[in-house]
Amino acid sequence: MSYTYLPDGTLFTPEAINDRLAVVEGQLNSLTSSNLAHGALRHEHLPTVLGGTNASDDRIVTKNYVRDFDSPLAFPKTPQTGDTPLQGAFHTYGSTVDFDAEGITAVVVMFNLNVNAFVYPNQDGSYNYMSTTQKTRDHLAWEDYMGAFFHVRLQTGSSENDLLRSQRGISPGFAMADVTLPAYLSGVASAINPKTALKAPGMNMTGDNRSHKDFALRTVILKEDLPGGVLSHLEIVGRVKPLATNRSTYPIPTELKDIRILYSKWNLTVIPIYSEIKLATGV
Amino acid sequence: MAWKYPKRPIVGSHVIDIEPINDNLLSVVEESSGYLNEHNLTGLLVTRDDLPKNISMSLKYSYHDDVSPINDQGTNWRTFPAAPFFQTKSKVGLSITGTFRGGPVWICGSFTLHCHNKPRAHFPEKSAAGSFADIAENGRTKGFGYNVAIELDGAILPESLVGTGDQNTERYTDSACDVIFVDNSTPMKLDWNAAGGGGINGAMNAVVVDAVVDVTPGRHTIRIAILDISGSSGLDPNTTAISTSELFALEMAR
Repeated sequence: MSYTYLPDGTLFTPEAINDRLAVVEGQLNSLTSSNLAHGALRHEHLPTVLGGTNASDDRIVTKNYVRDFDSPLAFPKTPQTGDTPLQGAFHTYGSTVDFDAEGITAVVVMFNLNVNAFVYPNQDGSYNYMSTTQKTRDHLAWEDYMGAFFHVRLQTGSSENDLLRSQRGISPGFAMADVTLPAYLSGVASAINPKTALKAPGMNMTGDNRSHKDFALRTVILKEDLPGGVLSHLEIVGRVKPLATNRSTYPIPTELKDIRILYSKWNLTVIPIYSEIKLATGV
Repeated sequence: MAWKYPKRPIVGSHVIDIEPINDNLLSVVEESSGYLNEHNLTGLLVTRDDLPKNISMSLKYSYHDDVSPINDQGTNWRTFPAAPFFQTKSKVGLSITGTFRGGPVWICGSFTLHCHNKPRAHFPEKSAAGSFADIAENGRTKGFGYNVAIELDGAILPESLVGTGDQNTERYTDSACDVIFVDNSTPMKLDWNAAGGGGINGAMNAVVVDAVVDVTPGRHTIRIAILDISGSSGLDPNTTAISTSELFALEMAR
């Protein structure tokens, strides 16, 4: 906002004063977005752009699940062929989130999951940890051939939308290389022995025995991701599966057809925001 | 502090001079150019509907659609050669170029990082005769792993760096260890080709990398940067790849 200074000696007339007051009044009553966005408002005013317009609504969601590392849960609990919800990692809104009515332009989702290990079940309900040599040639990293995948699923009433751009995957926590150990490490210098090599000091090349691999995703939900621009329910869904072609000559070992993960912790945060959105386009 | 009262109240008996007139008007102008507070604004003005969308935040968002980490063939994945320096791509999901007002920006990248052969071969089990002849092996070993970071206008943001890779303390470079990278007949010293990883390591990794930085007003390019430590993770030129990826920059008004 500018002001034309009255030079000393100016003829003092009501018109000169009124002209200046009118300009100031006019500008003050028509603040532009630029005026406001460049410091006219201070931080005390800005929390209103997070969440919905009604502070009492459950718009900002934080949920977590914590168990001891030594007593993880299995996912999925029973064999599944498709995506299935991760237990507890969801939020059903008390009242439907209406993007337009509540001045919400996007929702930021943050999810983290701690995966203790990839396992396969025994008949008695217990689980076996996988090892690098199990049913495979020793030096083949069969972490290449299986994975756990999770993504965000949205619901608008009875409509469902899998937000597949949010899908991420992790493999078992192997990181193997074939190592010929020197005698001072293994006592078997000549043998190519990955199992022994895994015990070399400092190596993290272990089997997936509580490797505690992290799964992390961040995504943004836009209004166009939701039929009708409303959101009633949000959840994390996923699957654990072998990925390679199952040929008759090299069948997938029976016990590895039903693989699971053990997990002990997750955290889900959902934050609606009021923001200008600029989508990048291209290839 | 907001302007609430005239700086120099003018009453009827005063001899009028230009100076108090200017002072009174200037105080209004100055306060409304950056120092308005709750004394100046009615509740109506500050409701969300009355404010422009860029009142406090601007979100620039880029994502790679129509791609899946489950895909056995690696269709539409972005591949990276095994090179020991930070690599970027000017592709959606990995890059954003836009004009910023200037101020603090939360930059966040989220993606699936792959280190395995593509397409994935069949399951690696011995045949009944014990033959491995038809088994693809080019993804069988992993390298030292990856460092991942955010790149802003060509410069890596150190505070965004994810993954370690200290080859001095993690013993992955022990010259006494022989590592077989290609086949059983050509073992090499570990310090020649560091393996087994100090960085982000594994066949598939769900990676998040982020930083909050102050950017200057103007046009900037933000990218996700991948470093294959020691160039050790690619037995095949296409070993390293990114499938699903999202990158966003949330600029906050200062």
